[in-house]
Amino acid sequence: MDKAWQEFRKCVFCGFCESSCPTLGETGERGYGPRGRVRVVGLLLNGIYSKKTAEYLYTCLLCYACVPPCPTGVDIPGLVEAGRSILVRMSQKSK
Amino acid sequence: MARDKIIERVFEELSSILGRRVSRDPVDLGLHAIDASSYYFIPKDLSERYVLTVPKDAEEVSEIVKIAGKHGVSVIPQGSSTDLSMGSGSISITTANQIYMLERGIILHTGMMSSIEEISETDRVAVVEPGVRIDSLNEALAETDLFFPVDPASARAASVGGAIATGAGGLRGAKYGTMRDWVLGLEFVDGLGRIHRTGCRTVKCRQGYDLTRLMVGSEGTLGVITKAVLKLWPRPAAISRLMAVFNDFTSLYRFFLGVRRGRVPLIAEYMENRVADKVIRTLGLGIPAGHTLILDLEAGSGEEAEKLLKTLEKDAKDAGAFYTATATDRDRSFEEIYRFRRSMYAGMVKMKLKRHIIFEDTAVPISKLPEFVRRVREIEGKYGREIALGGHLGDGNLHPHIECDLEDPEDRSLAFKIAKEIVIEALKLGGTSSSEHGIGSMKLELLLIELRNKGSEHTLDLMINIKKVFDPKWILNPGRVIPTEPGRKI
Repeated sequence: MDKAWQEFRKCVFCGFCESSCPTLGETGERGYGPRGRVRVVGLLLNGIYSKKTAEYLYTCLLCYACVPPCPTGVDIPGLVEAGRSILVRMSQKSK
Repeated sequence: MARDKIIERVFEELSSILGRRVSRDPVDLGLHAIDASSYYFIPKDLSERYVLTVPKDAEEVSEIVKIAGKHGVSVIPQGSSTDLSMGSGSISITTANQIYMLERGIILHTGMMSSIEEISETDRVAVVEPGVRIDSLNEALAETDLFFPVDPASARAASVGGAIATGAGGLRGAKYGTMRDWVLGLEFVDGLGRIHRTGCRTVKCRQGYDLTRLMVGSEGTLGVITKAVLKLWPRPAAISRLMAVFNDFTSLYRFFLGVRRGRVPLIAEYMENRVADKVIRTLGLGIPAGHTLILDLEAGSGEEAEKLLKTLEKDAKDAGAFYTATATDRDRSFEEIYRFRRSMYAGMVKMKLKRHIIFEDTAVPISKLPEFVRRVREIEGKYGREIALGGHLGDGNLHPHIECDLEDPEDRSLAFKIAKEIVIEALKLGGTSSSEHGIGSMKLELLLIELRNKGSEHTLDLMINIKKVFDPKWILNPGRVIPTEPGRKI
């Protein structure tokens, strides 16, 4: 969790990653893009989540197209995977 | 917290018009509550107080504003959220050291209005919706001999609507000016939901008061931009690019003045030694750090560009440059040099020691730049806090970077105090507090100081009255640009 939090805090919300994302191009909704997904994980780490959390994180293709444009070197796919792990743990706990 | 009854009604009415393009989902709202200047904040209770809307045309924007007006709910127009003055999110911080959120609001995201409706090579205009990214427009123009010259450092992400609303500038400001010089006409929705169409698609256009220009830089407080007619320009035939590194700012400045004699560089970008060092470390380059100038000059042909570079490089070395790199726009290294400048923001952010950086936006007349730099160094010494300088030497718009922790009231207060002192020095030198980032909420106090400094505090009354005409219900992006609402302190 701490590692994910540190990674999340590297993001400066500049949006440079967005034009490289194939899923954002399809929908135009911020949550389907890398900047949005980083933010979604940040919200999740702060206890803010909804059905949209899984929708946004599991539609990521983990294609790594967003990694080179990121000026601060956020491990965006790694954060998405961390977010997915949190969701899995949450779902196991609720069973 | 109980759901706000007014927001419940607003949501129902908006849903009947926009269907699924209205959301109270806490994640959707969390994605749109912030901008690049407030990125770290995680607001709570958003879904009780906020609604996100994603309209697809001016008619829908009009309906949203009408519903907002009916219920007295604020509308926060939002493009790509890349602004640096806290102007397009629900969270605001003022230089008076207050953090606040509007009681309730409708975030109006223009991301779905992203069509390039027309590009006319003959008329040299583009008609675009507000959500089009500036880089996307230039990509669409790649097949023509035209380009859109305003080049904010965030062009890859910044939307046309946001750039107009902010009055954005950028690297080519000295040569091409800012957004206000390139917007010929606008369609916008005022605070009563009325759709206006102003300006023309001709360069010459007298249409009573110039409301198009008034809208540029109004930061969503006078209307929501729904379409723009932009002027296009022929791309330079060839470009000579020089990077020259000096031991001190004075030598660099003298060289710059020499180059500038009789011509306007396309870009003239400056990075002080500490900034250059951070960029070099970020990019892993093996070049020396120093006071760095990146210059672009227009040439009539590739051959002329080569010739110009030889003269430029020699002149730079004669002026004291200890490292130079050159390229014409035909060379592979051309983009590499530009990347160095483009990475300034990244370098500063990646190498920062505190949580946030305030990017101030001062400009001073070119003749006052050395004195401004000297005074900034004095302030730095006084407070023992690094103030790194970098930005657009060509138009006198250097961005002082102050590291701080915005969530620590003491540190925030110190950072704002430093920022204020820098601005006051810029004003004394005939400069300004906000060149291209806008006022947002962060520079409200600085705007007042600036007007007071000119002996023109009453001009704010004029601005308030203009706001009342465009937005009588005071619902459009309140708390931005104008420091007070009638009868209510923020």
